[in-house]
Amino acid sequence: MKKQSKRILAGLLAVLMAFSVAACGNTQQEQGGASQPEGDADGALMPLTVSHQASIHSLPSYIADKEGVFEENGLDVDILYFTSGPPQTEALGADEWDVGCIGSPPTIAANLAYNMKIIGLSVEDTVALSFWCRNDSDIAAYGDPDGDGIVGDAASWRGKTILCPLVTSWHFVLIATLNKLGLTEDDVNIIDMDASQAYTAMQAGQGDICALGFPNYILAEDEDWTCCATGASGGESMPTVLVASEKAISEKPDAVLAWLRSYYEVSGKYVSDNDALTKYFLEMQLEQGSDVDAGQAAIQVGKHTLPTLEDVWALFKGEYGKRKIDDVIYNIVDFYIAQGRYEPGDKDTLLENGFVDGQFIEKLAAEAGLK
Amino acid sequence: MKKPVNKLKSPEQRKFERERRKNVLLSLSGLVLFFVLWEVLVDTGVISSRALCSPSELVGTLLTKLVSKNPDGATLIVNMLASLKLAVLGFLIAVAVGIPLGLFMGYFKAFDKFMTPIFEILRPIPPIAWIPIVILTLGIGLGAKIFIIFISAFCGCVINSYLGIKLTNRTYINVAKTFGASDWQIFTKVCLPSAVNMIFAGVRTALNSSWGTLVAAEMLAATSGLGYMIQMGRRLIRPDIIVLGMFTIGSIGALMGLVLGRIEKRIAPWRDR
Amino acid sequence: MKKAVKNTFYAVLPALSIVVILIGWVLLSMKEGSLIPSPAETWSRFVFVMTNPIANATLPVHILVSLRRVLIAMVLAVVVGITLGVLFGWSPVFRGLVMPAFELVRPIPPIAWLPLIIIWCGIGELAKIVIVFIGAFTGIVINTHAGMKSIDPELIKAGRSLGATKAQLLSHVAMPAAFPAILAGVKTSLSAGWMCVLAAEMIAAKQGVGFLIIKGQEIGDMALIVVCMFAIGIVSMIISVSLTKLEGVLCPWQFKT
Repeated sequence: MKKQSKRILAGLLAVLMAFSVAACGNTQQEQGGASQPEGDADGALMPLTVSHQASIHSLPSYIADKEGVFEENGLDVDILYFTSGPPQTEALGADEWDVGCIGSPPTIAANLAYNMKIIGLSVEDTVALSFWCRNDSDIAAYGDPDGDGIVGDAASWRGKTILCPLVTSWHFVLIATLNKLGLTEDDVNIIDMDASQAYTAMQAGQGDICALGFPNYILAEDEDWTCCATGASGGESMPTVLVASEKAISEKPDAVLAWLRSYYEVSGKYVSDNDALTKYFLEMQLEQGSDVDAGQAAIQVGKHTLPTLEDVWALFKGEYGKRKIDDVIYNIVDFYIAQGRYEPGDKDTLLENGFVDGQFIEKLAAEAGLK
Repeated sequence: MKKPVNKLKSPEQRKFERERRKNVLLSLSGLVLFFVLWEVLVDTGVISSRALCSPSELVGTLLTKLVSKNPDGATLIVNMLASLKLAVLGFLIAVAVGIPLGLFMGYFKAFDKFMTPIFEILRPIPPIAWIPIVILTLGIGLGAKIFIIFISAFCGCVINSYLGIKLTNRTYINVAKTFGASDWQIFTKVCLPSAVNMIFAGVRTALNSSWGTLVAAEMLAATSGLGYMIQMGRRLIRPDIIVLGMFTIGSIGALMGLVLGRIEKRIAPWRDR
Repeated sequence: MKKAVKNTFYAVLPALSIVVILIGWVLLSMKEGSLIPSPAETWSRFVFVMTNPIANATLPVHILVSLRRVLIAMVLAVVVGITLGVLFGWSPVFRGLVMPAFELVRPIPPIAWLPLIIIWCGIGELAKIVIVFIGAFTGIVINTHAGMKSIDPELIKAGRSLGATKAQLLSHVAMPAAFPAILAGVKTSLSAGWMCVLAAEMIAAKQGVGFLIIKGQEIGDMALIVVCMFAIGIVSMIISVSLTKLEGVLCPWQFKT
């Protein structure tokens, strides 16, 4: 009996140790979860969960949070950060957020799966994306004789290993570039890799072409690399967008509208003030653990132009399905369908679902007297 | 005309066959029950169809994917073959390196002392954690991916072979020594046969590990394969593709286990299963 | 004399092997254009991370956060796993019905479950714990089942002849006899669970050792990645050693291997 009780004691001690370690490790809990339905009308703040990336498109929302614009508009905002679009939309599937700022390619899948809607526009996404090859490759050797920004030709691009994250803005620019060269995805070897991973891999001698974002496209100038394609040379427009979940639109439309209003209030206020934007952008980057400096932040801010409500309204006015924004967004959809990523029937589904939902922009435009 | 001789079955044999039939029937009904339960749960909405597709939808996706390259760029068969190639190559290299390594480490103390630190440092690191370093050193091709699988599979092999030698009955070794056997003779004629059981266990573990590390290896840089297909399914929010990938991985894994079990029974029928 | 020489030889060998590894490492990192951090860089990064917070926490805190997830998952895995394993071993009907589905689901690695788990459990702690649970519980089931299978039938017969009921046979004869195998299963599963935590922390984690590796990849901080690899390895070794000691206390009759 003594031995057995000794053993039981040892077992209990082990479990106890385990739990005390577990309790010790109890640091900040992860935030998350779309917040409760709207608050009551007596002035209580409306809870809203917003998803960001550490990018320019999320900057107005970031500033609105810092400057109390959200509170002025009656919102109690919770912010979640994601490193790129696909994890962001995946979290939507778990109802983790209500509204957010994101690139357009991931939104297509999100609408087809979760009926997420585009409710507004943000900055042009292609201005800070680029693809780089090595100086000693045949692509660089071919050069850019016609000055269109694309270095190399179909022959030199064919068969190359391209490190590029799929179903992202880079992917779209790549497809546009390949189209211009007269190639398809099948003519090259695209390896799905996060842009920051792609940078490291390329430095280590892997791959022929890599996709780079901020701040790596600035750092790449110091490598023996040539910029062989950019968003501009791709020649297609691809906006970043503001989105809302189906649930948020139906259960708390007032909060969604308030968020959109705050967003465009800030973007209108700061559209010409690059210094303030640089300061905030640097702050946001540092908060998210990124190791950039003011100079790099200024370059990134300088490339982008924040959208004002007037700009956005110009794209949203008109008949559903025939607005300028529909042309832009469905152009992107067509690109993906041509590559076999979506089925032709998906386009009709998107239209039926009301993918690009103009109701909030229309309300804001009416408020501002633009309509 | 010769009449075929009827081999009368003994009562024990009949009982054995009855048991086996019963087991097979039970297993089959278990599988059927599993799929029926799954179908019912999704159809009645207990599990939302957004969270999981039903088996009938899965069959639809399976049939489509057999011929369609969308949305990830390769048909199901091509993906399966790509993954199998990766896993089998990694497995074979792991077994070829791991078993001899483990056996030598088990028998030759000097070798053991030298290899153990290297081994103990490598072992606890999860294969997926190796990916950044492997990209820098081995690149992003087949070799890099096979290395990830190798790392995962070879540890089990080494440990099991090592144990196999260590668990050799001391008496046998002593008897051999009394008869004047050299170190090498004892190793090959006493320890090795006695370690066969554990070697098989190691091979089985290596196969399971290889197949299980497939998804991680394909995260390194793949353009086809079941793990890649699941990744693409995730990017494009296609739970049907994701479940198809998972189901294929599960089925092939289960099949490999069955096949290995049969091979083991053939080669070492005395093994207690 | 000869024995003393032999013994020192054996003692020197592990040290020699570590020296060989270090030399190899230094050579790799000094190679032209290599991005591999040298041992010195790794060490200084380690010292830095031990005291300076990255992503709001120092390395020890990240380790504890990861450990917490693994331990909670292990408790669940032990409960569910032992139950399932015992049922497999004890009831042929249960085994016949449930085993095929188990064998079908077992080869699916935890990382393949990620997308589905995110859809089902969101991106919070629950999802990560479930992933680690999946990685850990299969090992426990298999080892418990093996333990039940290897029970000496004489023990069962003896119990029966002493008039034990089925329940008593299970709790007083079968389970104690299977205990060493169960403990071995817990040991391997804890290692497996700890290895899974990296996959689990790919679900939007904000802290944890696996998260640090992902963070390191994002910002190109290779030294951080290597530091974390070592951290993961060292913690795993500590866990193994502690569990072996525990095994020695709880099952002193077992051969130490």
